[in-house]
Amino acid sequence: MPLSVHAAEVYYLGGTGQGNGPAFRLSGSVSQQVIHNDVSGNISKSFLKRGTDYISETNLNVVKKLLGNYSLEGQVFLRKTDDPRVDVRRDVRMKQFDLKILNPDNLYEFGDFYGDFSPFALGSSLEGAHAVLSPSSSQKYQVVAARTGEADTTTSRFQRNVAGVKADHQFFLDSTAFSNFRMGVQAVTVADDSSSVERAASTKDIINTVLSTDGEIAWRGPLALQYEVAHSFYKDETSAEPRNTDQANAVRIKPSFSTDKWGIGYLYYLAQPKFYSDQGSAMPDKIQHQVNVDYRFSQRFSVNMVENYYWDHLPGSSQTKRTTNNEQYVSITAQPMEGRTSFVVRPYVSYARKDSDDPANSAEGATRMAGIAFNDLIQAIGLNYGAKYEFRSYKDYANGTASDYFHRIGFNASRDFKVWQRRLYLALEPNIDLRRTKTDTNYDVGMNLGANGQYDISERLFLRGNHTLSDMNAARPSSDYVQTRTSSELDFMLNQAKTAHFITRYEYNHYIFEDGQQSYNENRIIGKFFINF
Amino acid sequence: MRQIIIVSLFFSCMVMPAMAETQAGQTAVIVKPMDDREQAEKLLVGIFDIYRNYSRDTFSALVSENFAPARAEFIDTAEKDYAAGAVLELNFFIDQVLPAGKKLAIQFKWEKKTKPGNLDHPILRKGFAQFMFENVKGKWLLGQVIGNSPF
Repeated sequence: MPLSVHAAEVYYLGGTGQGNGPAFRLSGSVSQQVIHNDVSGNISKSFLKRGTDYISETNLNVVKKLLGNYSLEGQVFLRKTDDPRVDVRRDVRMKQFDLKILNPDNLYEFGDFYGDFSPFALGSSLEGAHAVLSPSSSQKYQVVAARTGEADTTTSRFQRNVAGVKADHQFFLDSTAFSNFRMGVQAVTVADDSSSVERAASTKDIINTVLSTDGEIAWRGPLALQYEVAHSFYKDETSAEPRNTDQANAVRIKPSFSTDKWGIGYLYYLAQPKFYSDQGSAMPDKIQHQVNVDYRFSQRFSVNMVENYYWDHLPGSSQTKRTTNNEQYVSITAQPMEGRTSFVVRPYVSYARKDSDDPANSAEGATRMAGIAFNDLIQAIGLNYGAKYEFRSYKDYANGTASDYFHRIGFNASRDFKVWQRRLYLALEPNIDLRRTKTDTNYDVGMNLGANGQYDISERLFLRGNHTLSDMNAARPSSDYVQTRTSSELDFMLNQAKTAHFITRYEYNHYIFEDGQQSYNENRIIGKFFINF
Repeated sequence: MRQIIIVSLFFSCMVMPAMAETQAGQTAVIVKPMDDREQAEKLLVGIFDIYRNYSRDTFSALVSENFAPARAEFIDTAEKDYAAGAVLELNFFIDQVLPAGKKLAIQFKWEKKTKPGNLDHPILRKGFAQFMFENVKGKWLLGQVIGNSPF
């Protein structure tokens, strides 16, 4: 057998990989981008630097069958660039590496992964090892030994190590009373490695442990319950000697009731002062009561109501005052025309009140809002269109001059056409914002126009364009500005099967401020090649 | 150097057993399409577009009821941030995309340029954030923000 034929069988490049094909599949993408930037005017107001930058990216995915019912999945993402906006380092950077050995019951993972135990215990991106083991359909165990990231010499931040275990048990699997009955317990410890970077005056190492139990109970009927109770033990170098450990609790309980017509949910949330999350950062102390009510009058009319009441400054809080928030929100979704369900109207109102123990020094205030939006589709001509209006009033009780009124009016329309037997897509989105403060009768008038489109010149060649215009006529003198952003793009599909593209793009960004001191121009020319395989 | 070694080992481990197994005539595994990075880009473009043309109705529809730590405060903060000044520019550069079941964690750098109503000059801000999206009944909703929020 010729070597190339054999290689093609072994390294199956492309295709779905399904069925009785080879036991190994390599897929991924390669992209190369070259960007030329030209900036003039007040260049300090631009993110861009003059000159030419490049970005090379490679993404490789490997799937391979192993012994038994195990398989291996791997992923590597490499990037090299000299553009400091993308990465400050110019060498080849392995931004992501992940290797999984798995079967339907077990998973062993090395590299970058998302550690996900429960909202209070662990939910963050980690780098290290992770295992999920399910010895039976009712049991599941997770183990994590990782770090949140490398030590940072620039900010003198220590490497933070994470170790955790989680055990979940499903009860009453064949019950006629419960459709789901899961209970879980988890423990996570984060600890700084104080030898990982040279210590600075501001550097302190911490150790934090979170113990938590969570679960979901769903009855075969309308009732369900989610809950989590957590306790954290935290200490750092600044704690008094003997180093005290701060201990605190966090609780969330969420019962719900749902039928075809009703959906009612209640959330109780408590985070005591000095409760520290998985990352070792203090969570804001708070007690919260939230009630959600959904009612469906018919297939075409439904209403959603939310009452959310919460306050902080619990006993032991480091905050100087208590702030109480009370929010109500009501929205209706309606399809008023029986024969035209694409016509959807959504009116809504909300009221949010913030009160404080210390009104003179706080942002005590009230926000009132009302809005309506509708969307429709005219099937015969393929036209999507809609409009929205929103009014927002903010009253600042401590500082009356900060009170303001906001009106926002917006329209949108998009349509597919046939021009010379080819598809032309156009979309328009004009908006007007009117804003004034309570102390000024003049309005800031902002007009925005967004337009974009695509024309399929041939089966392999596409032309795209985008234009946005923001014109601000401000109430304050000498504060008007106009920003114009335009781009056009020619996309040539080199290979349909492997979705290989070569794209050339031109971008123009022009910002003119009334006093002339802030104005700048940006011109960019971009060439990009990418291929998926 | 460490990266080169890891990548070399990665492919050595894969390739050698793969050849042996294919010669032994084993069958292929079912392959899940690896399009998480494309999905991540779509999600970020979507939420930033909605934010640029903010209305409470459309923005809050993208935030999960299970948002941690507090949904209402997050929406209020985004709303105040938007009302404080016009958003002139919002760019992002994705570093990592980490799927975990029905969740997708995206780590990215961002740049944001705004023109506050009470200032004469644009404000340029940069940050690094992690957004976690969760798939709720087929729709991707924002479930957590860690790091410097662009909102």
